[in-house]
Amino acid sequence: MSGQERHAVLGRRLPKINSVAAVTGRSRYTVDLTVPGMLYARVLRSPHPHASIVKLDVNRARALPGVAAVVTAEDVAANSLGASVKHRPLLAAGVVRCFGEPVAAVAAISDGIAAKALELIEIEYDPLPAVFDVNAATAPGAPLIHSDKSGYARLPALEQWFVREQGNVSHRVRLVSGDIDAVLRRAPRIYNASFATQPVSHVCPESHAALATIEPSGRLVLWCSTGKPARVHGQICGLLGIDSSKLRIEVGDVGCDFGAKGEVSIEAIVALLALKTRRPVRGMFSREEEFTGAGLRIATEIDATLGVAADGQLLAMDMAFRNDIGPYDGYGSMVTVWAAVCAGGPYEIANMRIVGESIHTNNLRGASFRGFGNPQVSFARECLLDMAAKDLGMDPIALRRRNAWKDGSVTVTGQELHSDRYGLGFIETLDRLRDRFPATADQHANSGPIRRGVGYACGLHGSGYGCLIDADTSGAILKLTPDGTFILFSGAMDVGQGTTTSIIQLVAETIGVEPDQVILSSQDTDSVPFDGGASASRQLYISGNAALRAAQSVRSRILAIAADILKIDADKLVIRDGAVRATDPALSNRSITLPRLALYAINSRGEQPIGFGTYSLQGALLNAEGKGDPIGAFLFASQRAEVEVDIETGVVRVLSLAGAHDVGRAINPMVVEGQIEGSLIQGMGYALLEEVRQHDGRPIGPDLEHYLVPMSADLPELVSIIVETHEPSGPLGAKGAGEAGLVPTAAAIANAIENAAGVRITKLPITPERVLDAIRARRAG
Amino acid sequence: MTAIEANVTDEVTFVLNGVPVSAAIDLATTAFDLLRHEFRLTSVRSACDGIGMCGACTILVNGRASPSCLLLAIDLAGARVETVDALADGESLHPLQQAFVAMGALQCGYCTAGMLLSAKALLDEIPRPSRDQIARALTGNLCRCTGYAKIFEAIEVAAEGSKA
Repeated sequence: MSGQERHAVLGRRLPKINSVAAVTGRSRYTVDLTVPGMLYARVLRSPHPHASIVKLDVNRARALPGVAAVVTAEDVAANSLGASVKHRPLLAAGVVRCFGEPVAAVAAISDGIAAKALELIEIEYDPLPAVFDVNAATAPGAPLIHSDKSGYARLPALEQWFVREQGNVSHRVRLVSGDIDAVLRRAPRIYNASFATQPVSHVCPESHAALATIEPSGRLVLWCSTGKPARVHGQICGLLGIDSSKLRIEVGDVGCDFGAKGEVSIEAIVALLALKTRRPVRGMFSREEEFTGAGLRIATEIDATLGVAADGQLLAMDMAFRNDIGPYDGYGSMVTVWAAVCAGGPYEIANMRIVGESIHTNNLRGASFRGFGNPQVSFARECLLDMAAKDLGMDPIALRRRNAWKDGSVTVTGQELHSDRYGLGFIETLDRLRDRFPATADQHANSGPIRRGVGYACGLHGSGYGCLIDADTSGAILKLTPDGTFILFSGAMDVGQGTTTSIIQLVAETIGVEPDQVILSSQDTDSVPFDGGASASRQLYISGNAALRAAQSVRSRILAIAADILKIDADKLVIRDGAVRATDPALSNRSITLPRLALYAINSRGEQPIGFGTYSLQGALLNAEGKGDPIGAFLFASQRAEVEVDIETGVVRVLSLAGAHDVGRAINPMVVEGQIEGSLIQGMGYALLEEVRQHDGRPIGPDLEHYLVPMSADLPELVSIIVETHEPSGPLGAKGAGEAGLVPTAAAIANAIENAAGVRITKLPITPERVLDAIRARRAG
Repeated sequence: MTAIEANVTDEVTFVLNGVPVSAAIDLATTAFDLLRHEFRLTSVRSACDGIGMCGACTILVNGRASPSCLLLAIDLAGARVETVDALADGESLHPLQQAFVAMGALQCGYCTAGMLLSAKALLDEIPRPSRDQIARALTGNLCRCTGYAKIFEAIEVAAEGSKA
């Protein structure tokens, strides 16, 4: 096939397909859209972290001139949402369980009138006892956030871990291998510590936004900013009680997702208001609502113990972690299960016990965020490994390499890692990092107030939802048009990461054309087959596999048609330079261009060449004992951080961050580098700067003045090292690259700080105050 | 402070992307509101709700990069105002635009217009900037996707190209 003859398109540093639109100001985000006669939506939100609503009267708001509709819980047909447990109301019904919870919404002819109408809604609350940390939430007598938590629909894939007894623990996952207690008792070296990570915001520059219109036929058309249109579609139809065929979702350019835009809120509110008024309605989150209403990276408390042999062999790891998922279990328990699966890292550790709990509090709602719980637990594990390396006098890379997964390793869930089934490039990521930065480059003579240090950390992640859903599915359609161009119908979403460009390269390579001969169709849910969307590092792996199959299918239709025309067997034909040609050089004059073939096919043969492909990752569910093959394809990242610590002020400056990432086949190295560099900097923000601080469930700020994210002045030297391997189940050997990136970064930086200043910080973010406190405590101790 | 009342109106006249324009404004209108909502220049974006912390609404006023949310519309009076919409010469991209595309200096693209304008102001003043000068010039422009490295590289490539 063509793939073996030419790989000209694979590995090309092709600019993202929408780049020119972006640099010329022509991108169109949902927040840019307006339509004539459009109404403006605003949402009334709870000022209390936990309260009964004792009075809600919207009559005065409804009577305000210019107000078209005011909706409350009563207007929502099936008022419950949530991927893990279906119990989050779109609009609060009788009780609010966190600050900022939506209570009512207004549509008015201007944004100003909508804001005014919110003030006219008469609402009274009766505050309820609330709980703001996971330990208080699980203490005896803690206020219950859901009085009957068993009464809601739940995700079947997590059922074995649902906690039935009363309380605030939603799910408790337990993964065990070997004989942890006995081995820990006799392990020569024991390292243990407690860690805590903070809630952070995705800070998508384009906020959540939606514009709903009603077609003359009565169908609802919703434009929204999301990387998961099919999932948003399903949630809205369920909430509003509309048939799936009565809603079309369209998505234009998306100003980031990072996991934030898969659980609906404003999208469904706007749809509800449009159905109510029969008029177009637009709504968008303010930046404050992005902090309070969009969900945050889940804060995690971790206790972990590592048992190690004197030669550095990892014998046992015991980890218990508590995820603060806030009042509703959307992605929360899925995050907990995924974190448990990844907690042991890419290491052979025969004896393991991982216990993860998702716990309800009245803090701001937890959500999915790039890494899906994995950066939290990996921070703990990689810090412990560093403590072990230092204590044993081992090079931190050597310690990790000694224990690294290799062909034949078995994971905590019993997944057997065979290289004919999985790409296993972890050891190569370590070696490539060490090649680039020899151990001699890690040595610094430290004196004076500015101390320099180097730290390492590693992580694994998976491509696809794996054990979290029954079937992780994407489809794709490819159609040959009369000018010889192919139109790709795919629900794979570019939320910035560049996947659609990579998928176009896959398709072009497979068919045998240039990438500019493949055009991505507009992506509305009517036209494209179901696609699970941009999440779980799944787009290139799963949607790419679907597109690859569609390309193979349209290619064989084209070759079959050409075989009839050229009177040459299809297996002796190839598509090259815009035509179908004979592979036999003696027959080089026998060819037909793609436009001629397309016209002939349509006009004379009565068949437009169309290909369809689908791909689904299945069979990954874990059984009741927590055993199974939860990960479809493994992603690996090894990272190095070099920092300067001012031991008089506690200020940390990151000088350099390097990541060596196993991404399978790098379809587009520029896109892959973008993922590595972007995740290194996001990981640096997670390590040092970012935190949505809350006081008794109420956020401080929250705005971009109080919430710090990395800016250009913070930019260290970035080194991205692409480790190419072949993923047997991936499309042309590729797999995901989006999420493994920031899994190890915070630990690499914490380890570098320890190396520089001799203090082990176990709480994120690592602020100057925390560094200074630790330095003072060490001096005092 | 009651000096600026929403109903006090005035007219502002300036040159927008090479075209003389005027608009009736009330004195509390920001330059951001005027450009994005009245002139419908959607390339002038916002991520911080008007507190000058994201740089997505950056414009050039007499060649200087400024967040338009921190300027009043009346501040534009008599000025030469540029947005990214006029950066290309017809279909021919500005060297910075070419470099941003070629170097992968954008992902979601939301911050790109502001980045390009801050970079243009920099290169117009300092044709061959150092890394520190680039970092300073972009210090108000938030990018959540790229990690900034490719943006720096693109600016360096554009600077070299313009010199060659």
